[in-house]
Amino acid sequence: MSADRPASRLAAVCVAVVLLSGATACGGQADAGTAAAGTPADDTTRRIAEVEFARQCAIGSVSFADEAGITAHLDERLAAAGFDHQEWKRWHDALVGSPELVEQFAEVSAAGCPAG
Amino acid sequence: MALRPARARAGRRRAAVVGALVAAAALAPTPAGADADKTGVRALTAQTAPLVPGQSAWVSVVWTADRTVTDWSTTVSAPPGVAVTYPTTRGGSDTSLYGSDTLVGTTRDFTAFRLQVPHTQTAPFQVTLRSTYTDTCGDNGQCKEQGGGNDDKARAHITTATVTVPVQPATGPAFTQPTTTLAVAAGSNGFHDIAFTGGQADLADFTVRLGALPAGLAVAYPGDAAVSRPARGSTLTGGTTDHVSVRLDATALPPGSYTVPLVVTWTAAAPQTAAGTVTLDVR
Repeated sequence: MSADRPASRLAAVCVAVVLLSGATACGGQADAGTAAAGTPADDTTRRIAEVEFARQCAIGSVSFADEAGITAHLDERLAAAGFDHQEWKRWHDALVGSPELVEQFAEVSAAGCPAG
Repeated sequence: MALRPARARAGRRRAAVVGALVAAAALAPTPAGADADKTGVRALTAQTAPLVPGQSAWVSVVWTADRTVTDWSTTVSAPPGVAVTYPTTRGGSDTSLYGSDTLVGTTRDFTAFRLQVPHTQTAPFQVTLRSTYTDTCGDNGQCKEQGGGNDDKARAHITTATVTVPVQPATGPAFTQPTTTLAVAAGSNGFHDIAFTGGQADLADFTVRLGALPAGLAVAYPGDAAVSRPARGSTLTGGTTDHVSVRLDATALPPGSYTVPLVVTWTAAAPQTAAGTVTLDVR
């Protein structure tokens, strides 16, 4: 926070906006609190993270004749690992609110993409 | 939704006051560097998948960031003659990330877009991706899932990345014909489909007609045209399978097996013609 832009002034603006607009909070603090609960990381989420990281490594070097091929490319990898698209989607959506899942993804990707 | 007049006036007053407050905050002096992009957003892809002249295909560019950004949007600039199209799910004017429009810090996601390379494009070329996104982290790096950061401010940023698209000569046949035999009921008169699968490049103005017919067989094409065209349009898109329909009037054709020539034409860099056959199994 800059000394030239006092927090009190922004806070006052925030309060005014809340009062006038009917919003429930400034800056999404309530949402941040909810997301902090997070989804725990376990062996299942690790395996999904592994599928996702391998896909991210491969996706830049393949092209698809139609748009649906992009999702088919993912779903084939998921099926081979015993997962479906909805399980991947839930994992992906949980990333934003789960430091545990993010840390686990970082562990999975630490070795980097395979050469070539 | 229509507001009742009194509520509408109140709503307009409220909107005006909120707008003035937000504008005042936005116009307040900002120290140099406070709005610098600290997200670490960057492309990990230096070159896309290779394409061939005349090919249209979806390619991807992978991104990462040091901290979470939201509201991701990417547009792509390509050289003249190379057409760019975006997913229809976003209205067709931009693309976002595959998983969502949020890139979670230290993870990866990619933008996909379709490039249509003209037959005359035989050398690699570059595309420039312009990505916009919102940083919801404050100056001290503390982030919130939505809205502003620890200073209650959401910062919009732009990053560009230039990526090479390799172009290599096409290999393999221009197309293949999965349908080699048609089962035709003796005495019948109806449409039959002959499937074709494009090779690597798109084949524009793709047409098929039957050549010399056995005695007793008559043929017609959809719309009483002189040829048949793919069901999804006049172009056989590379890597996809489409079909042409032909009406076979076999009312005077005795049962048996007949090999009928096909004349296939298309335009790639130049007009082309190829011969094929289809076997009619009349029972």
